[in-house]
Amino acid sequence: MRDITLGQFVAGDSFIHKLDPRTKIGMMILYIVMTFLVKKIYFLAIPFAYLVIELILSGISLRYILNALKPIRFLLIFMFLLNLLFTKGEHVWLDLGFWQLTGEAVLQSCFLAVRIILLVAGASMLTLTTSPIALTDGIERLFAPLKIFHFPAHELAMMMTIALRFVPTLMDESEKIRSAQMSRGADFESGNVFRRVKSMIPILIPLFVSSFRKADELAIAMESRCYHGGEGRTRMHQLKFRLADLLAILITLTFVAVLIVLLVLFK
Amino acid sequence: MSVVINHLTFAYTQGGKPLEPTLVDLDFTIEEGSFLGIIGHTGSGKSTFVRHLNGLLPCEKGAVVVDGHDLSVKAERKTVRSLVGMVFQYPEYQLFADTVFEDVAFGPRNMKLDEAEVKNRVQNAMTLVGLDPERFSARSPFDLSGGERRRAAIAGVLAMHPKYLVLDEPMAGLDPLGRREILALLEKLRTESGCTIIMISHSMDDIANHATKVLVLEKGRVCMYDTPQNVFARAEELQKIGLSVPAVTKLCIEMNRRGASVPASICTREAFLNWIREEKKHA
Amino acid sequence: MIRFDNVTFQYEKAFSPALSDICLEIRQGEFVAIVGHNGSGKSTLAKHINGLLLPVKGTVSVCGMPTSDEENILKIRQKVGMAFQNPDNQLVTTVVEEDVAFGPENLGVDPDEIRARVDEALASVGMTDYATFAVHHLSGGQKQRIAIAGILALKPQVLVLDEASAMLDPSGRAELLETIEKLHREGMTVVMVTQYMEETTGCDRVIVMKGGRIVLEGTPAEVFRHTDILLDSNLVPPETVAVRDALKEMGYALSDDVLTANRLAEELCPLL
Repeated sequence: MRDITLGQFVAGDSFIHKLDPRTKIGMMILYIVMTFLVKKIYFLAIPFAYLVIELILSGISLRYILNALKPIRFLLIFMFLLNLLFTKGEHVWLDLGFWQLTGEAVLQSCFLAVRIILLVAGASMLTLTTSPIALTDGIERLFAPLKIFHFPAHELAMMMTIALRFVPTLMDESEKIRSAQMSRGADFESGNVFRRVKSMIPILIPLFVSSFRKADELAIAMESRCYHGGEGRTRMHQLKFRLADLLAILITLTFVAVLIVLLVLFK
Repeated sequence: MSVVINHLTFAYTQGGKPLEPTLVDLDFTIEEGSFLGIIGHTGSGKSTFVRHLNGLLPCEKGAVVVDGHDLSVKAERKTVRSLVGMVFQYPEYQLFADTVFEDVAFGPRNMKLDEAEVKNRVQNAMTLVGLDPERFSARSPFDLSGGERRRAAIAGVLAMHPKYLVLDEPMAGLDPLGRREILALLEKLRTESGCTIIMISHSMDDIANHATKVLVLEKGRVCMYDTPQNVFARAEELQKIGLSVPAVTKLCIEMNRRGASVPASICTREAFLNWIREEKKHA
Repeated sequence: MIRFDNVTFQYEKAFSPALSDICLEIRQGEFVAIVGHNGSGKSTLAKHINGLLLPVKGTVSVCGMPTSDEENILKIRQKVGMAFQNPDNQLVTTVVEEDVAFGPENLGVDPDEIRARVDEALASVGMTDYATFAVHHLSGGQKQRIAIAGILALKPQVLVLDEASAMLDPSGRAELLETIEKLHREGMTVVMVTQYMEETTGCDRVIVMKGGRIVLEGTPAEVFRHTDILLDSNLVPPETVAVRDALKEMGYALSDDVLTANRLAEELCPLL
């Protein structure tokens, strides 16, 4: 209960784990570009191959990827059926009069479903192999050049850092408040949806009040420790772009190039 | 009637697997009308233990029976929760309603009492903790001072008329005046309403002065369960497990080290001064 | 080192001032305890030392720099480190060493230098082994020591503790007090705001506050001679001192600097 963090990080020592978070963010962006460039199902083999290689190199068990896909299973089925129902085509496989099942519809439904699976699996590879702290660091530094356009890279990263820090604290606190209200006879388990939502008020209000107080006290503590925004700030842990990072980016770019060539050749 | 703890063992689980047990074979009876002080350092299982007294944690091995209601029976929990009031650490952090009245009324309303009875109980509870109902009923709990908020939260538990009042460090973070007020309230509840008090505290002086029985927990086991005089007489053992002793006990140890013969059972200022007077008479 | 000259402060919407006409000087290397009941103004006073609050009247200056001058504020906060009551609400990041690095990072210190300062600060509070731990796995006392390490990494000259022990259990409190006493021995100026009178017995000077004013000031022995003023300020003297006073009333001649069980036993035994 106390160790829930945003995303699910699996600590490890693999080639992928050791990459600079910026590299991994870049890899994910290129991977997403790949899946979106593809318009035909068989070309998805290229990003799929990339994902498999990444998975093997990371040593992450396939179970984690399947877990990441679990929450979207209903969305997947829904999208699949929707496309099956409404995609028109010429190769009729089954004719019910009011509706025809076409080969195009099957192909299109499969294509979209596989693409979503690949996207979610790829994105979860990033959070599975990168600790939230490293991810925050990566985001801050990757977006730092955008500061000239007033993009609040530092503020965003600081918000993420604080959120990560306080998730376990607030979880503990909500558990305590819940116990206390249950001791006063509160019932969170019975009644219809409306009643249950209403019964959460005695938990939510103290939690909000406490979060505000925490925010207030934290702000004072940060100020006392000379915090004055991102201006002129340094970091103890410097991110280092190593040979492995270069290699990873080059391999990814090769995949993109191969895909583009294939797409042009088989247009 | 009493609270019977019968061979209670409990372990938290993590990822479906049980961890090292937090409570091991607790077996004793808390008599009605007593003032039980629970001591033990952080992680000794004190808070886990008191959570069993009103069924917030399930009894998997052993049983907790409050006035004949066995808490392992799920249907009994609701009854027991109106018998056993729980004041958690920093209870003021659980205040939520718009007014003090509404907050204190939360418990009684959950007990499905009629509105006249709710009002009656809320006003009594507020008076008991020293918050004048006329002045405080309509105020927001968030506008009160720290000490007042604490007392408002305690009133919310008292309004349920618990026979057993369990408090987890009720004086933490209060100033000396606030501490004294809470202790006086607890004494009053016990002597006037016959309420049984079960209090976790780190203040050995408070325990020595107020408790009638002391439970010492160490690594989830009962290390001692006796009167404060007998518990603090075993000062050396307490210090060995990292607990402190009342200031007077400390003084007596120092004196005995210098050749005096102060009885080991003396742990309060009153008892010590009486002993001095006796000594003077004999001298 | 720190000077309060006729400082008055009133919170917005408050009916009476939280501090009235405070004059105070804290010398380098001193260990000062400020005690008082809730609302006596002791925390308000502490928050003036590093410019978190600015006086309405009068001036507060640190090493000659007035806190009211905006330009001094970063320099003052670097010189005066401050730890607060709730151990949870002052740690910023998830990992111990990153949190300790937070202060020097804000000052733009060179990464290698930060590393060195973090290691030194953690060693100084005895938490080196916990450098890569997650903050929320620590006990309250450990969290407070990390908060102090975070301040030490700024290389301050004054350490202000605003009821930093109030939420800790006795062993956590002992841990913290030990750390503070060690830092003081190494030359740190310490200002400790507390409600626990027994924590003040080892201080150089105790300042008692009531209603925004200083009502009593002196060495612990001097302050604990005035039990009446303490009780009138809603404070309770340590139990040992209360026993000593009761014995004195019974006619035992005990000296005023008897504040601990050890000393009391030493003086009492020969009299029996």
